[in-house]
Amino acid sequence: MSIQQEQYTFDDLDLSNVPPIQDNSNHKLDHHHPRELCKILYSKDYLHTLKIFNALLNSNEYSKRSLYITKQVIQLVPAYYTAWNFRFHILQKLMALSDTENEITLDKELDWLDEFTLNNPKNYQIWSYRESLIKDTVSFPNQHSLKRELPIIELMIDDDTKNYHVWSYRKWCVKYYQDYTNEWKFCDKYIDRDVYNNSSWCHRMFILENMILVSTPIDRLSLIEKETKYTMEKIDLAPQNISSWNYYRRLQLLLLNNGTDNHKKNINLQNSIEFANRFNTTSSYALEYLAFAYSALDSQKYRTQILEIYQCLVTKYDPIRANYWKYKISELE
Amino acid sequence: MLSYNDQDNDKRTRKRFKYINTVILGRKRDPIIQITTSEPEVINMCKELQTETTIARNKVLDKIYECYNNSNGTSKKYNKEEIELDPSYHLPYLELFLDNDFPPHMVALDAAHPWLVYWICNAYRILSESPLPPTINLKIKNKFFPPLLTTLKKAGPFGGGVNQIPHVVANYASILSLGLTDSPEIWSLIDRKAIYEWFLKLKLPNGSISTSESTGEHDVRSIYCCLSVASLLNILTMELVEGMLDFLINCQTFEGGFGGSPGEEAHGGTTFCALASLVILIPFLYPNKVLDDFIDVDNLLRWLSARQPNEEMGLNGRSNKLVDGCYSFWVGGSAAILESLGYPFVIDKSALREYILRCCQSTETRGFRDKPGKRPDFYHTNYVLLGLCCCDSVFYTKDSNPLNFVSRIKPGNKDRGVAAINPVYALTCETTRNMYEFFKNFSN
Ligand SMILES: [Zn+2]
Repeated sequence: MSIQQEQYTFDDLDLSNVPPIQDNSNHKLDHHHPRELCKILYSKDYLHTLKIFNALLNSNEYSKRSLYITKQVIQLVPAYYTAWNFRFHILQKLMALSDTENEITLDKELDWLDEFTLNNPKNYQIWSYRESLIKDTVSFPNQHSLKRELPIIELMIDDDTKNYHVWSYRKWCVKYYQDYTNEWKFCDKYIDRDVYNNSSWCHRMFILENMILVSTPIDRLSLIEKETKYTMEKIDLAPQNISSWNYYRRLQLLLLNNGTDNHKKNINLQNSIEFANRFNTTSSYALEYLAFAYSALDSQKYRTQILEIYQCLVTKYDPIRANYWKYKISELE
Repeated sequence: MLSYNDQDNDKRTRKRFKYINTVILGRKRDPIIQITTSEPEVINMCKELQTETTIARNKVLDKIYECYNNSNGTSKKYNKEEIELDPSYHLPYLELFLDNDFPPHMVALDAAHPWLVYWICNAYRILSESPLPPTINLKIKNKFFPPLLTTLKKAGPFGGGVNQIPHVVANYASILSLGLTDSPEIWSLIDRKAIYEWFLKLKLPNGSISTSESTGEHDVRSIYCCLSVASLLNILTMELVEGMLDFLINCQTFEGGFGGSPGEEAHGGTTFCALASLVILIPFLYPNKVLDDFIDVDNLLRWLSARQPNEEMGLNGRSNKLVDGCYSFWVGGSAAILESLGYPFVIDKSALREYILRCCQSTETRGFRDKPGKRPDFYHTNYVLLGLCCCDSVFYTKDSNPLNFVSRIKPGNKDRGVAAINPVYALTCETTRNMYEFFKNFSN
């Protein structure tokens, strides 16, 4: 498979018709002017590439050789956003030409991007560029699907399980293609691998909240209950885990907001208190949850319990957050 | 892959437990639990499952304990000797790069020239405790308004370097760099009108703003970079900010912090951007309303304070992620913004200061770093220093206009080389106020 859209080398380029560019990088400074601040000593290679790139950019030449040069710049400096931007415009123009011989296609571009992504895991221009490509260059709406995007996302997250940009891109894709069917399994995989991976817990909440939006009230409740059970198992596994407790707390809030039966709501809270109490010696997050649940139940009636919990957090279990716990105590007064 | 407390883990647990007791709690014996359970037993909050997260954290903790326990290489105990910032140690690191070119490998930052200028000059401004000298001001001016042009013209919006397209984030770093000169003569060269019209072209239907035309990111970071510049240059309009407030509000997550876009994970950097943006926007749109009317401030305070674990004492940027010196500002600065508005400062300032001074600097290399084991860089030098300013200051305001936020170095502060900063703008209060006074006279 060839993933080269552009087969040029520097030697093939006919630069005789490239207009010259005013080169600002070497200011013709007289001796009274100080040296340029934060000037980078460029390599010869880079200077040469950039000279051609700037010439083609400034003459708005949307050609295959321009496409080639953008790749050279990006490979030298992945964060060079001007090259990404120029590349995007070139592709848009060339794809519109529908030249069947030597076709420039979105597929080929995505293939190249996949490969580039694997070699530059920390670069994040890639993801917004990819988003623009899919949004703005697809000529036939059904030409692409989420399926095309899933493998590269999974590879990247396998390699760096908390990569913010990749998780964000996955959310964008899921929303864009309106396809949530792969997501529960995906979250399970990374929570099974590392129960402390907050990115996968947050992705799970993103999926859950979307499901809640599209479910009937009854489905909604059973979904939240199912998630509650799942989370309790994960807390059992590792009680001192802020991620699972934040998720659990959110589930209980959703139960409070989605039910109508006050009696049932109180029972839910009581149950959650009973659950959290099992960890009152092994998890400061359980203690924090307890204070939250008592407050939700009746902050007047359980004032003593709540106060005692915050005091314990201040003096024993989580003293570095004393300012926050004291603020919570002051709210009770 | 997963195993319950193996021997190593157990030893570490005891070590950490002992550390909390003796260092943080100042206890000689292990405490006894007194909560609702009937039988008293020893606290063990550290029982954990071993996963990638805990393995990575424990590696970092080992290095951190070394910094805390053994600063002078002899004692095994926590070093109780006081530590103070010594600006004269770090200044040569910045001076070197103010006077010399960068080596070729720095080409990776070729689209970030304004950032290099801001990081280095801002850190220099703070550490040297005085306005930038005229020689540096001239260098900054020449960087953004090349003297090649025979007649000096106004310029802006700015990009990442020569012949690069304008970029909202690069433009932000450029305006801050120009701000640092404290020079009305230089400020009058900024083309406010062109920047404003360019911003309008970048606005997106969802309320956010794109970093550049056609491609680029659009998230709370691009919004903050736009709003910060627009308020500094006095070009905020209803048209420019339309839809931004809703976008920002929707970025607060169930955890309490803010993600980059609605539905994304709460993160220190994006939380700072969102909060600072809200603090600029709300007084502009609704002079009679407060932050609490729009977001869950209580949950935000909870999330900010949860960024500081008892063991590391420094701040992390997300739940279950590693401590990193730059969050001293992204998270510490967010806490400072809230302190300005009258909320409690929910980070332990003296503990964070310990992390900064004992773990983010070393005797081997000048400059500040992310964590022990990493090399210093300009980005961390600037944001760790801004974080230290947060630790050493108290924040308040009499005025809801964020340009007039003030801070005062705490009485009894021992560090030299810290400045009173405005946390919304990541500049000194003095510069922010000067810019406000200068640009308020311009009409839109
Ligand atoms: Zn950092």
